[in-house]
Amino acid sequence: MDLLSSFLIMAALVAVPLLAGVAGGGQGVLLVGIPYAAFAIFIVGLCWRVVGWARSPVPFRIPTTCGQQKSLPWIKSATLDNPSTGTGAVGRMALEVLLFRSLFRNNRAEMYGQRYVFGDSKWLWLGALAFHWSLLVIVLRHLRLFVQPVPACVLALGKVDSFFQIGAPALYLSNVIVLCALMYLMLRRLWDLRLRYICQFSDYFALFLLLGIALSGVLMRYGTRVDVVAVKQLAIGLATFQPVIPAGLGLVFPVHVLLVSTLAAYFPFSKLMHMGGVFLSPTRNLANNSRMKRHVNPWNYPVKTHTYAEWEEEFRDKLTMAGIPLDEAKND
Amino acid sequence: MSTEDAILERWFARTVEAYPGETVLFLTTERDQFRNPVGHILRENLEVLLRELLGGMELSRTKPALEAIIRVRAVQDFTATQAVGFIFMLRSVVGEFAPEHDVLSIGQKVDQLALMAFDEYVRCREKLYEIRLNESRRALSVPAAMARVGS
Amino acid sequence: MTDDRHQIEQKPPRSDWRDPAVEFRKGTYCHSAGAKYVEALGLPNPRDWNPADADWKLPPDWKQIILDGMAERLEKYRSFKLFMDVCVRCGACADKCHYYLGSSDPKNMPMVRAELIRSVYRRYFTPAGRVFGSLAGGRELTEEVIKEWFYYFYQCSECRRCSVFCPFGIDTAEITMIGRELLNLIGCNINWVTKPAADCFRVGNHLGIQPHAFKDSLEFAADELEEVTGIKVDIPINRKGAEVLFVMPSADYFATPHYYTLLGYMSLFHEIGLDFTYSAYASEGGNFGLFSSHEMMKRLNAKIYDEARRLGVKWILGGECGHMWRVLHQYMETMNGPADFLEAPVSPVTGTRFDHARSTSMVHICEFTADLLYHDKLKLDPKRNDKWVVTYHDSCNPARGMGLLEEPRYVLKRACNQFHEMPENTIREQTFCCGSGSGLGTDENLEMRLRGGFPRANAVRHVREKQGVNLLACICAIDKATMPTLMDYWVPGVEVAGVHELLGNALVMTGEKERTTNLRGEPLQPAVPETPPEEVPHG
Repeated sequence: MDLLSSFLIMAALVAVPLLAGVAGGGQGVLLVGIPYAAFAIFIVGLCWRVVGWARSPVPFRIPTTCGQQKSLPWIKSATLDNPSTGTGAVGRMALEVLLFRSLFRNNRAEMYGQRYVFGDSKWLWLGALAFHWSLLVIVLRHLRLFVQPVPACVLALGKVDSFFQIGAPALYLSNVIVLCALMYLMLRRLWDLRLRYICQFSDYFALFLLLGIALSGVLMRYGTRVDVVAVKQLAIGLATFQPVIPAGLGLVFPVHVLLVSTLAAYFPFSKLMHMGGVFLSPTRNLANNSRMKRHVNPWNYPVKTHTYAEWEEEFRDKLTMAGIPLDEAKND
Repeated sequence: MSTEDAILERWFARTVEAYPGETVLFLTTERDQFRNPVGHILRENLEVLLRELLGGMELSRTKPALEAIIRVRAVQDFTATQAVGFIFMLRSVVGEFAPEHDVLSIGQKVDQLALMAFDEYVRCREKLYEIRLNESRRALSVPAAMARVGS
Repeated sequence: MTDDRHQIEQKPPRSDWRDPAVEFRKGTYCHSAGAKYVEALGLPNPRDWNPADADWKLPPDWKQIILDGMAERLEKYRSFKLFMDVCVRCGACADKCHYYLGSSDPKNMPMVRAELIRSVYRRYFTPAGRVFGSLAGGRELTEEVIKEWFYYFYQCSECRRCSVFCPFGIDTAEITMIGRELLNLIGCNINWVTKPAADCFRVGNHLGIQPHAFKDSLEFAADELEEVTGIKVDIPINRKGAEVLFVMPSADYFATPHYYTLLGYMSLFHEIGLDFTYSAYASEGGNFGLFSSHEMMKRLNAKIYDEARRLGVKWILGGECGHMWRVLHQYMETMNGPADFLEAPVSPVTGTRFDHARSTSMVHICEFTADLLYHDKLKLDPKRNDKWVVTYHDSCNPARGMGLLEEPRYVLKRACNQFHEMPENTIREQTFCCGSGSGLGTDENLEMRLRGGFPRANAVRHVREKQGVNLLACICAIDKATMPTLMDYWVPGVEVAGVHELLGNALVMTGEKERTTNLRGEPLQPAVPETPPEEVPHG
């Protein structure tokens, strides 16, 4: 059901610009109006969500400790998996964000009989890492379309990415990796019944969108050979708020743009917000120094307790009988 | 794959079918004995039972293997018949993969295992009552406290 | 050939997680809280009810109460809000939950457990969910959902194992804690949590042991210890001006095998001449408030600092207990501090300043003892523990809420000759829960506990078969109460002991008589491996 509906919406998103392209209309809306609107939603939505999280305080210091605490000087503590300082926590976050440390923990490679077996989780870590890093490379590479002159680092990145010089235009490694990784992430959702049990529209839809974006991009580069000059003209126009719609963009390009726009607009309302959320997770970004430094809860409020005086009053006879010292002697 | 392996695979598959559908693949494919204790116990001991069934039915080997499996199933969401039912499946599985085996003798051995399994199931359920009692004894075992609690 | 008339096992139908229906089967859920305990704590909707009944007698505006409660907590806890939003359902946590591994129930996968409440969050608190409902993963809040929450949030032991593997650090314990708070708002509590909390609040400890009986228990323990060692130790209670206040879980003085750990503490304190006092008012280190609500946790915990202030001690020493230490380490000073009336703890024997506890001023007894041993201040005769082949179970909270991993191991390796670790992915931060934590260790819930404890027991069985292990050491009162049951069922022949029981056995006390028994009163005997170990034990 969720799979079907996400697929249908996806199909519509592909069909609309194709039909518009064939009919030869709607270019202004598709290539200028929607991208601007989507980008605005993306920026505003992202801020709104992050501010929303940030507005809720962190009342307690609750890191999940994944290694030895810092206690006695002669016991070696796990400075990254159980950081006791802010710097350590930054290091832990860096490992988490850049290398997916926690997913990596799943890793296990063992011999079973004569066979060397990797569990699914190993692949999950690898797949997730491959996807996110290649996505980052691809996004950075796209900067060359939006800025003139193109920064040297972006050019260098493209060089590295097409290192193997296969075919012309040269094959970007990141394109291959991102497609493989996305296919893997999709297939495991369908294959593993435990995941299929819980998968929702959002899970499939995000993957469909990303797959669609990647495929249409690859198609333009290696298949239909889109006119890069025209694309750059449009992109710079959009970036400088002086949009022009050049001729010769082809049929696939509007599909690519609509899918990217949809992803951007959908982003703040979906689980894709994990990109921002990962930085705020209180079980990861806090140092485990609860007993060294008091953590303050901004909404700490007084509660009803059973005070010593009340307790002594209630058990006075029994305390006296047992010879336990009292605070207040009563003469009666 | 040898016939015996094929029988085992099928028997295992039929046995784990009793678990929620989402979990079957995990029980089947995850081979780490600590990450998948239930699957591991089943696989390890079904293998022993099968070997014994096709071989000598050595009590010293069948009993612990049955015990290990039933002990798990006795506390899972199964009725008594469901908990021991996996034994009976062996009949059709062996028939399917190794029709050359003497049906009658296999059938008898399956029945024998099934009866033992029932015994074991009952023993496990009785054990539950026993350990429950032991636990409440331990929970309040300091005599002075017992004498004075609530006074 | 043979027909399949015997095949009684049917393939269960593929289910939909959105369907909230649960069956309350005997042995797999906890009893509801008795009205008088709910009332004693001033909690809402006290009444007699039973989870297996159709009518739960919820207040008429229960739905609004839950939604308001969620709104309030979304504003108060970034953890809750964030964890509602960022899960991508990658499945890394799926096989990390001991209840899932033991029961195969897909709703016990941590991501699904959280989804039970997340779906309601989406439906009522997110724009997408309000508009698109179930397409955006939303679910209506119905009475069925409340029952489902009750079933599954009291089927999570808040052990945080899943959180270790989550790429965003989503902590199901946090979600379960909030889920239980919400349930408490409409009076859906369990007795095993509420009764001890009520007793602790009024009397001072979970069992409601009154001050005179508390004293009797400790004196009885001192007599027992004298029989074993020939030495009579002091029992200072509510003594003003002591240097150290000692707080332990109450099970240590009324249940076995906890009790032998108490004998261990007593021998240790006597031997080093510690200037300390017990308290009959703060006679409970454990805190069942943690298992019901943050507010209840604070109400019960307040006694410890209050008593330390009243008695004028310099710092506090805490006994062996798991969730007690989660509260002491991660919550106490935030809730009931600042502890500016205390000093940074300094060991009177070694002079070590426990700098890592300088603000909270509370030290774990394993940290304290490890320091003594490191400085060679204790004389040990580990041969007295030779009947034991020991392994160590990391209790969830000290492992994943604190990182207390090496200290207890250091003590054990000094006090015992034969020590073996369980497999790597079942100890330290990856330790498996006993399956009875967070107030679920009650006998009506026994079957669920045995399912949940199976992954742990399975690892113990492994070292029993390989190395002949016959003792499971741990530092948690709930472990000590429930692990013997677990072992009884899954790995007969393995006993359970606290780390300080083994220390007490090995501790050579000045002026002691020749020891013929251990603290349990059992004869000291050389180790006779019961099963021939496949590998030579290297102690």
